[in-house]
Amino acid sequence: MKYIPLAATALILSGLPTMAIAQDDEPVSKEEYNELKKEVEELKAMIRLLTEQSGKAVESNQSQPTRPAARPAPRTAPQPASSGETATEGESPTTINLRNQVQRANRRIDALEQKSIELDSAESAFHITGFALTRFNVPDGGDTVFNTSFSPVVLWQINDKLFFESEFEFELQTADGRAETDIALGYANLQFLVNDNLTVGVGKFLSPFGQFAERLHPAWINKLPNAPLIRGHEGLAPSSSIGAFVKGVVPFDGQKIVYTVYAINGPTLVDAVRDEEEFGGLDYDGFSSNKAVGGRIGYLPVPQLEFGYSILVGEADSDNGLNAETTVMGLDASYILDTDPGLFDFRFEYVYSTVDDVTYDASGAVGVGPITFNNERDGLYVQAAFRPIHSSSDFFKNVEFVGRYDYLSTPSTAPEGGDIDRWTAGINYWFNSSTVLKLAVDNVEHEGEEARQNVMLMLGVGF
Amino acid sequence: MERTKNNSARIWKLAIGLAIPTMIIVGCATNETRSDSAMMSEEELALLPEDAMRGAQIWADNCIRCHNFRSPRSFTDRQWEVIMTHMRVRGGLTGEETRQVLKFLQAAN
Repeated sequence: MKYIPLAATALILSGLPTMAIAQDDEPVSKEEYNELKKEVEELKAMIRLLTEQSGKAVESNQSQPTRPAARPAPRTAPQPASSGETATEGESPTTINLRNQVQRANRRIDALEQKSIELDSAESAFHITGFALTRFNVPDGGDTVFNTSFSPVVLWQINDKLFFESEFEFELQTADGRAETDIALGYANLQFLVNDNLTVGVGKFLSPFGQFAERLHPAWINKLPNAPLIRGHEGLAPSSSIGAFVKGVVPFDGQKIVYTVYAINGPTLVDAVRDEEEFGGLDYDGFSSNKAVGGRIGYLPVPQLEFGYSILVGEADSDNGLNAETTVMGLDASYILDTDPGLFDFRFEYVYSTVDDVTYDASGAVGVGPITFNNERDGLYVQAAFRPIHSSSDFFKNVEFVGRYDYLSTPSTAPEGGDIDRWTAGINYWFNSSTVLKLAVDNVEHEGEEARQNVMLMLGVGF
Repeated sequence: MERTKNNSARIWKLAIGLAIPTMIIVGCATNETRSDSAMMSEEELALLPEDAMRGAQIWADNCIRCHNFRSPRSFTDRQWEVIMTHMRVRGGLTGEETRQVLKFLQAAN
């Protein structure tokens, strides 16, 4: 019995650091509040038990006055009762002390609860999500490329109608003995939720051209360590755009039509002065003075199946003053099939682009012109993934097999032009729903060259 | 040509060499699917209000179109409100669907 006051004091003291998390002038999260509440409930139960035992000890001592040594001496002096704290005659100092501690903790909980309610009822709310990745790329006969990136996404619910989203990209890449750090703004746009089916946005937004850029690009969502050829650095379709968009949903009979219409800064036409590898390509990251308009319409007969058509039309200009009409079109489809063996995920995207004929390097100053070629390009990817999510094995249910074929065709008469074919096979292991380790091998064949292979190992995390 | 064959053999050996220890390591390091264990049982689902039940179906039908299910317990109620507004625009959900999914997530949280 002599250990009861000591145990009670230790119990209280062990709870105090947690209680101290919430200072009066700091916001308290719901988790902190719930954790504290749980601890206090446990303390109350423990105190009730101790009080009962202590009471029995007092009764026992009162009935046996000849054994004063059995009455435990408090290790700490009882705290003076503050406002609202009560003491009942006959209670031991330990019991009074414990009761006072509990009363103080209850008052703290009431204050925290009030703050939690205030926080929950606040009109504006922030949330930071995003993803991170670390990747090794071991090319056939080349140096290993390592890159790691962190992409926080800031979401700001300004009120019921206004919403702001933004993604930052911090990337470190090392190759050929050099390290480069890139910082970029992936997107940042303000959205106005007009009604249940319509949203208007302005700013920099992920391009609703096909499905990959807008929905599948994060490292923990894309099922392979690399991006499809029609996307990425030398891709045909835009990843993000600056402008304004209108996005809507039309549900009917269990089916759905989704659409986006947008007006954006037009692409720039890459010429030899800028980058010979992408000669004649369209760059969507520049700040062209021309404008382009586009849109995508998608049809979902059931939620798991989607077909889409995208188009972008505008005028592209170049650093050398070239201007050319451009049209980019795309088809996409996706199908998710949950079967007894597991989950199948099928995806397909095709993109075609055409740029009006212009004469590049007309003066011959760059050394590649004057040159004119039929600037039509296309590319696609077909991807299938399977994950035995219903497996009884905790290991195999987290394993995913992925295969993708893609190609990119650029004018063979253009400098550095020609077709690229690529096969990629990968195996993933999911540690949880948003943390994945990906291992993949690809086989890339440029027109007129020997095929090359790459091994890629990547850890992707969504948070 | 001979060099290319050698490189191809080397690259496949490297891939297999990385795959096997990786699978062994992750297999030993994990013995449960946290995402799955955090999901609700059918008995728990049956106790949800009607709106939340509809939300559960919409959640099951739509999230998987792009990514794995995130457990309702991954975020707080308030965080889910912000996330669902984000997902509404990104994933092509109606306002009504969004509210129902939110009710499910908050009920299951």
